[in-house]
Amino acid sequence: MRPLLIPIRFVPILLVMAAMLTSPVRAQGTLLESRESLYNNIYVFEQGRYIIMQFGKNTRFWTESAYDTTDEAALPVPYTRWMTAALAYPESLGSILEIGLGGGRTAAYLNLHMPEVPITSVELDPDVIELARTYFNVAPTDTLTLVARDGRIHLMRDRTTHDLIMVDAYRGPFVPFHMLTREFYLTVKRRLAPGGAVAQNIEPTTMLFDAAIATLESVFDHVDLYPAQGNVVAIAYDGPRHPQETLRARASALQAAHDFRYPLPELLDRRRLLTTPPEQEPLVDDFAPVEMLKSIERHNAGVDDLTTPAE
Amino acid sequence: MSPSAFRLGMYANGFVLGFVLMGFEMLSSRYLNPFFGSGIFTWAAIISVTLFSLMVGYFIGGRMVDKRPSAGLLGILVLVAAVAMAAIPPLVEPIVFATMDIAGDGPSGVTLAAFVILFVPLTLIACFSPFAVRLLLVSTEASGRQTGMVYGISTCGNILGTLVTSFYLVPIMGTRAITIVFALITAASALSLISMGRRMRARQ
Repeated sequence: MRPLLIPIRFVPILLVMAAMLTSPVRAQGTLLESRESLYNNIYVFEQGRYIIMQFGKNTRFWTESAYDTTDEAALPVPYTRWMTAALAYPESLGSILEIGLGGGRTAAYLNLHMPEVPITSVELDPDVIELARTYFNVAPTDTLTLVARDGRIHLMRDRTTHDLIMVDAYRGPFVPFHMLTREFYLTVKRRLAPGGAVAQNIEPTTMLFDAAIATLESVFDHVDLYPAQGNVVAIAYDGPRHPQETLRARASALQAAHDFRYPLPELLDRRRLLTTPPEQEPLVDDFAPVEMLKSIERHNAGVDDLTTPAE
Repeated sequence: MSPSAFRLGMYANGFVLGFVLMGFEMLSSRYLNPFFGSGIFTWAAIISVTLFSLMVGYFIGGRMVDKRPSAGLLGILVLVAAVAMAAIPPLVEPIVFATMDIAGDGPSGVTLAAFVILFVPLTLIACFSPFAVRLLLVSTEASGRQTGMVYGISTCGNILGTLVTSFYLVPIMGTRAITIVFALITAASALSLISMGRRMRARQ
């Protein structure tokens, strides 16, 4: 028999990855529940061993989250693994804030590996929280708090500071403009403890990517980019630039302590330093034409032109 | 000023003020979203406050024009609306923070903030319709057509104000800059109404 080009056990994984990359496609499988919430049309599908949450708009669907029911520690959506690379940036990890829960797998992953670190996840849509609890096995614990509130309102009203703030507030294809502006990131900065960092998931195919990077760069001293199989994870922080050895040492220490499924030192290998910021005006509350920028495809070259690999 | 020139002038002002009214309503979402999010609550606050302002504007505009049927008085009301609009860009942040301290960031907070931003300019602009109907009415035979024209033309301005502001102006200009442009347009409309009032009086 001819050997198969792709080992058969990888097929489901590849199928899920394909679903992530070509996201405006309805997930195949059994529809477990669909719900019209205050903010979204939410669909939960079962597809083999995966549970997938999608938001629909007209006839298009965007995958928000995926959960491997056979493996609590898996992060089937690739970019979410690189969101965890940000764990190595803060000097200490006393508190983590996530904006945008979705299916809640990233928060659950962090809580599973580091049960002693308090995590607060803020999600606009109470129905998303309910579906995450029902189908994605995400439940509040002593150290995992779920809050139903607009992310920016939460940052303004709750003065708690955090060592790491992870921002992933997509509503289908869009990030609400008020979560992409200079004023938003200045508020994020006020809620970061000294030495803290912010991680942001960005979709890189439109001009909105350049604008988002330019905005982050206008607020923080340093921006690192992690190309993450389709999406790009940006990690921004203030103070002197972290040498790669420092991050590696922190990552190794965390890895030894928590035994992450996706080893932090390996995730850090993708690190690229933003050396040539895009020539794009930062977004501000007064002028943030996100819909227009989103409609312009990026013709300039990708992340490589903006960055140099970290040595 | 001939009656037909006066009529055309009123129609033009109805169109322009209708445009600015809905344009400013759409713009208010850009002022409110950073503080209250962009969900259905914010839109419910904006739309209900807009309709409330129109209601009040129709009531008081109707009473005022019966007491004093003058395009000049209408012009003064519209001029105050322009000033109130121009005051929003520098004052919006302290206004919103004050309303959040009073009413929080939930439905009452966003409704109060929408009220403070929208009520004065929209109410005064809404006075236009009853004023225009009364000033343009010459006979009961034509009253239906005349009223229809005033409402039809200003609603046409509403439609274009909504579309042009949302799809064209917001993507190319800052929110504050658009507000100032709207305030200047409103002031120009006010001055034209004042001058129309003067010329009509001179004729009588």
